[in-house]
Amino acid sequence: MPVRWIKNIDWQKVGIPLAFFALCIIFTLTTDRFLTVRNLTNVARQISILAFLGYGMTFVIISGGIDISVGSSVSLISMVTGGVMVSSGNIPLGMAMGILCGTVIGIVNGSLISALDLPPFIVTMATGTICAGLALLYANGMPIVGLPDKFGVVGSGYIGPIPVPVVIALFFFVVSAFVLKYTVYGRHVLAVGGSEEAVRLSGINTKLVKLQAYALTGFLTGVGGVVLTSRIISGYPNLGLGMELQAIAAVVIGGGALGGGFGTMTGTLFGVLMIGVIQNGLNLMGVSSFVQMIVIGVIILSSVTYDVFRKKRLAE
Amino acid sequence: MTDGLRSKELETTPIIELKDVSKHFGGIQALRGVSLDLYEGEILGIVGHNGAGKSTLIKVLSGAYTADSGKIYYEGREVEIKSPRDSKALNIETIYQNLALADNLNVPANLFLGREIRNRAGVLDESRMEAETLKMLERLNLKIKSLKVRVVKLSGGQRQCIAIGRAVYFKAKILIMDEPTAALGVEETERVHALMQQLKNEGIAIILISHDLHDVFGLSDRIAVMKNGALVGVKKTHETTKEEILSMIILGKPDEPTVRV
Repeated sequence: MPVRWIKNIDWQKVGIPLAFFALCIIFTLTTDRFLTVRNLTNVARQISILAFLGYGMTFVIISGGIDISVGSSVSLISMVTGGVMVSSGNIPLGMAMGILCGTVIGIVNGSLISALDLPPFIVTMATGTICAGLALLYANGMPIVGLPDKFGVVGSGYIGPIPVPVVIALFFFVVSAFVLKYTVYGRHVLAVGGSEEAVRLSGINTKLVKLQAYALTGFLTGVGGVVLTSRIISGYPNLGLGMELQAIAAVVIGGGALGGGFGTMTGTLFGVLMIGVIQNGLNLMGVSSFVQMIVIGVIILSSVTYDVFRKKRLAE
Repeated sequence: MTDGLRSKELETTPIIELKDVSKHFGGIQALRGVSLDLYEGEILGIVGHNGAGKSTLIKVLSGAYTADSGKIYYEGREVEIKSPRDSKALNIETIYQNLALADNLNVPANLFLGREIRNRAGVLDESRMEAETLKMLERLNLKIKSLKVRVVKLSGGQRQCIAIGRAVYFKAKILIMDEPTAALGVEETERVHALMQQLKNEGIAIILISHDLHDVFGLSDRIAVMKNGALVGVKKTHETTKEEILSMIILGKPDEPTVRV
């Protein structure tokens, strides 16, 4: 009887959260600082940025695409936010321009990919490179300093006991998860990723669905970039380096299939938590960050392999 | 030529009429001046070699392609079909070979794909869609174990019936089916044929493309033969034989002079 019960568990849904909690327990037992309020708050604050990128990446990947420009977008967003804030002295204006910058990048990506039918990998690789170049060009490779100190509240402040970035990340998690699961748009994103041609013949505007996914990603990247800029209270031209890969890793670990049509916001959130906890736990254990890179790589490989096996079993 | 070859009284207006419809792709003329009519409650079979223009013809009706020239009449009035939405607005529902359903979604999601039911708050009304799906399955006499299962896990016959069910649910008056039973076993083919007869009896007009002359003769009221993008001829099924149809397919011309009424 117990064996049959185990076979009926939906490992796809339960696996990652279980692994996450198991990891937390391991780190609690092997280090004395993991399960402290201070540490957990820090981790949560750090991974909030990754969470924003992860939500957007979830929509894009489920729709059958990919966006490797988000890291470089963050860099450009940071420069724009810093530059506008310093020249105008206006904090909300700087933040708004940063978010707008991200959204525009997303719309450009989405337009090129859906209207011109260009491959997402190449397009976002190109726009990412352009953004990275623009970010460096903005101030000749130098960071922008002199932002008003009050701006730091967004990235380093608290609302009660919870850091501001975590509150914002949780808010957008609820919104993104709701859109994906309960709205017509979310349903269409899933459908387009699964069988684009069949969906087009159903009368759905598949180009618009894909465009909106990239625009959403751009907006969320804008929010993440602004929050991250606030943490260092400066515009930094390399700020987002490598973040796109972590965002993709989070989606994949969370059960999203790179081919599209599968994935959940909750899964991505646990993917983000996993990455954050592993890096934090290994740090506390004194493990070198080089080993950490290997560990993350192994986890991504295992998730993808498990995913492929699950797909094969589904098809049988 | 369809002069005089009607399965109903002369006075009945065809529900769909194509006049001189042409379509080319680059240098290839896929449809040459095709004129065809379709009546309520009849099954019209379209046969011909690969590349004869059958798929192009139905894609022009379904809005996947737009005709270059010619006119289309729906219930007697001239219409334009420029997109799948235009086609659905005319109550034309098309069931494509292999491209009917979204594999990663479940049965209710597929039934309402593109026409999802929202509740008053504007979000997906899953419970209503499930209830309507159950009603539709009952009407089609289709048994599916769980509505939550992804359609990729269902059998070919079940998937085909769901695609048909979707068309029927949205009040299709014209059903276009491209090789509906090509990939199905004997029992499932029977199931789909029975469903088609049921729908025909309800007054729905069905266009059936098939390579299987046995199926076409078993189901259709009239048979249209195409070759090289042109309509070779249309025959009432009970007034022709498989040999005659075959020779029309191969030779490209009718065996006997057409009967003028």
